[in-house]
Amino acid sequence: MEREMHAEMQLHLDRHTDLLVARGMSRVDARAAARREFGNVSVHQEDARDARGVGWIESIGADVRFAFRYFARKPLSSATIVLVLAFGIAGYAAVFGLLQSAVMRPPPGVPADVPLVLLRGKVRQKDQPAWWPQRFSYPELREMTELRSVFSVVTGWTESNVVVDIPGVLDRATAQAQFVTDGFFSVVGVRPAVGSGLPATVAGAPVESQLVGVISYPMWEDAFGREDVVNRTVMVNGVAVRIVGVAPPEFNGVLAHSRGHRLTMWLPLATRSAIRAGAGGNRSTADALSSADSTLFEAVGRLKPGVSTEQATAAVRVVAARAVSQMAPPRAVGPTSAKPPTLVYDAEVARLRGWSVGGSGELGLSPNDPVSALFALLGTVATLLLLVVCANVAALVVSAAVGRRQEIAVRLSLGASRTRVIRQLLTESTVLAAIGGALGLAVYWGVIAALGQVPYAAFFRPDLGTVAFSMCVALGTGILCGLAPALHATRGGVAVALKDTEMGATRRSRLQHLFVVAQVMFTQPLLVVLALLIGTVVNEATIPLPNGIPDHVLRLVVDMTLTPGTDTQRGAALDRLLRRIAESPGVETVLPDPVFVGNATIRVRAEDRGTVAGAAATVTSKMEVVTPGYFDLMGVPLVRGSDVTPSSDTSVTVIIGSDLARELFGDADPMGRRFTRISPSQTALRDLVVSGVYDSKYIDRGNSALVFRAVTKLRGNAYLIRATAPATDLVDSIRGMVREELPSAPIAPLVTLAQIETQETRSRKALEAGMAVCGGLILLLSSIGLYGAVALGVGQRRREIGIRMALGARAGQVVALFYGGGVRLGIIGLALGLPISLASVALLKSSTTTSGTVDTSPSVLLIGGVIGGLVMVVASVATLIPATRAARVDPVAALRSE
Amino acid sequence: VSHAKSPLLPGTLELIVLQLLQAEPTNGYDLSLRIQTISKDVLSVNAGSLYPALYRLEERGLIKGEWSNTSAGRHAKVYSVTKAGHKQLIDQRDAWRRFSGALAAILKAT
Repeated sequence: MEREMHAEMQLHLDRHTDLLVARGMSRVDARAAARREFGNVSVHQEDARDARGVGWIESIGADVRFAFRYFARKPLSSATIVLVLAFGIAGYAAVFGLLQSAVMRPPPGVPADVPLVLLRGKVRQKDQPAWWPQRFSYPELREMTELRSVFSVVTGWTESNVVVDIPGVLDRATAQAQFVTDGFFSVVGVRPAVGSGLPATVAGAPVESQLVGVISYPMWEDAFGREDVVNRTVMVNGVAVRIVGVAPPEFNGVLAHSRGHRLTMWLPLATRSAIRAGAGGNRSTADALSSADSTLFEAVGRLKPGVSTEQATAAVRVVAARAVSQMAPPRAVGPTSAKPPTLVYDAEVARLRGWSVGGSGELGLSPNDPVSALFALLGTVATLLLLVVCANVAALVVSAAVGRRQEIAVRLSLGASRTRVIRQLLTESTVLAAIGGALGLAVYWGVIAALGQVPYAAFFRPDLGTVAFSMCVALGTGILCGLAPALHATRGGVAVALKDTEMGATRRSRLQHLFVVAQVMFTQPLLVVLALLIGTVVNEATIPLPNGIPDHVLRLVVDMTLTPGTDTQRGAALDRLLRRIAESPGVETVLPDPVFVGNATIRVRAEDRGTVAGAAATVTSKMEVVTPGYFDLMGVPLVRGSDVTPSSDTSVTVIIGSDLARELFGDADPMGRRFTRISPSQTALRDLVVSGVYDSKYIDRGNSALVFRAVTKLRGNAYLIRATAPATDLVDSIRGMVREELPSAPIAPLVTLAQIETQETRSRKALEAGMAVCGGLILLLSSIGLYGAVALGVGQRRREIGIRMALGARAGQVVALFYGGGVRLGIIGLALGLPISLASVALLKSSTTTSGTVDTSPSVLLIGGVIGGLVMVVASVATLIPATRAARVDPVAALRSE
Repeated sequence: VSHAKSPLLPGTLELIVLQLLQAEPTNGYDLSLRIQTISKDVLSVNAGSLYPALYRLEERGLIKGEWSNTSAGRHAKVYSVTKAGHKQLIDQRDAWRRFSGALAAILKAT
């Protein structure tokens, strides 16, 4: 096509030349005249190409080829743009996808066309704003089911933990059972992957005939290797249950909080009392389905066509209010409170979404819902991230385009139209955006696929809508980022471009500078927070116990809640088991694992303070309850005092760490000194008396002080078994004893402290690595921003550099000029970021959780300083590269345009 | 670079090209010469307008071009009017007649 056009126009020229020669011109003159008359061949060809629609497809092909040739020539800057975009798109897609699956899509496995709503009760104390979930009682659920004017169907369920035993396959594993009302699966819209599913309840039929269940897909995989299971029998709490189906792979319950189990079973509600009785539940299970106080049930339903959630909420509220009026009055909480709290009940109907959790508020961004606040924060962060990425990409593309002004000018002067050049530049940035977007989405897809393996994150799945949306964002970013520099570089026509003057340099770069400062400003706090978190994780590492003790100690977890009998009977059974283990060969001691009882704020009593300055300080400590012999078992030497002196009625004896003792009492003897425990309301509680000091070197859980409260007897749910030799050999025999002594308790894995430690180390390492990678990426992103800004400045001020160098500036001075400029931006950013860092550290400090506080003890200023230094070093390198490039500007070349 | 001795009324180039090609299929260069000759040197069509116009008409399926050897022994692309082009020509000719008649009436009346 192209060749034809060329041939045709060439023929035109030849013929005209012949004509002019025939009229008496010389061939040379005739040729020139013919060309003159014809005009600019390439412009005509350009116009002609525009005239035939096919042409532009071909020229886009040419543009794309040219773009790739250009990328090959500038691999570094092209790769940078692609990576920055990929990073941004991956992050954005991940967050957007998370929001989408949590807030906009139904739970996994539930078809999108099922108009499922969640019926939900909630309760709060009158003087507090936070709502708590409130389940429905069975009579209440029945009434909801009868609300035919708003719901076409309603189904409910209640969960219990059960012990599942399949001879030779599952050895008394804990599973979740959901006892469902009739039609649960059809209301939810889930069809079993295998089998027929739960049959409808036949009124008056004996319970034995109804002992059937549907198992979860992971349970099918784990327990049966996906073999034929229909009509096979499993023992649930010792009761035989016939399997009638397997749920589809995606579906593992309707609500997010119930999806964490691999082993889940759905059973008819009618079987609940039989199965609970099998576990010897100490409450009357028959009562559970008639009492208004047994609020056990979650409910979902389908709205009638044309009914809004508001109308349904109004109907449900009436039922809930009536149910509440039939409940027993609330009891007082705690021994000190004079009267019971006034409770406010409410109920509502909300669309069922991926992250719907019973009672804790819909993700409709209600202010007192921490989950929705988290999602809102995530969304903001993602948008900010995308903005930063766009700003960086724009800077990089602009500086590349500025560097190509000469090339563009040559193309313009050779007859390329302005639209043609703009199209070329746009094609380039769009191709870059497409590559970056594709790469980012590949990363996103990989991350999501990996997350899908985690039970709680399983609702979060790759989504084509998200991919399409993110790709649009990527292409949009590419086009927008490409458009400005393309217009910019081609403005003013051939003459101006060829002269290589600066065009609108200052305003653009001021905006650019603002972006860079903002980026550095946010980089530092993010890095400081990350560093503190990493520090916390590192600090939580347990110091290895001496003499290979971790190998010698087994940790046995016993769940007594599913054991039949009264509390006394169960206690006796447990004691029997522990005695048997203790007496078996190879076992030295058996002791309860210390039980965490909470965080305590303590201060040394004024009269017991010594001369040490720190003695007056308040100490926030973790408090664990411990029995005599624990330190001996663990091989932790007691520096002072006896093992455990039982607490008296008036004071509590505690064993503190040697570090804390030194901090508070210096070299003075800490024995017998007293602490005052301070409650949040500042009223003093009981005294704590120091009765011993352990060597802090060996026991360190988290970063707050650890104080052991000494008691003589403790019933926990975990026990430590110290063996005379490496303890793994004892595992089988101890399991056997548990099986015999506690016939219906689930058997948890029995592992040594060394194995626990390895596991913890592994996950800690992964967490550290993840956070370090995050930090690195953030640092990289902001340094690319700095690099882009300085490189842009260098490109735009080429002529100025030329003049300076012509006037005698040395290369070093030019480098210093740009380097100084870049570093100044970095310093401004750091200075502005410092208050944000301090604020976020303060925020972290205040967010004390039961699992431990974030360690902020190492001087924040020190960490801030180190991070600031790191940011400056990276920023310096990012600045130095383009700055040295500035020094290589040839003054002659730069000034030739004059 | 315009050498037109008289400006071409917008939209008339298509009509001229169709009319001339209807009379006799020919190549681009001869077509430009013919426009000049028949209009007695009043109209001169620049190559920069002629070729895009030809491609546009070809694109719309009103004319079609075929490579063949001319009498002078050159290999040239010869354009001819298609059926659709013929219909278009009749329409445009009518429209032009109406327009020029109206214009003439106005010029005469005032």
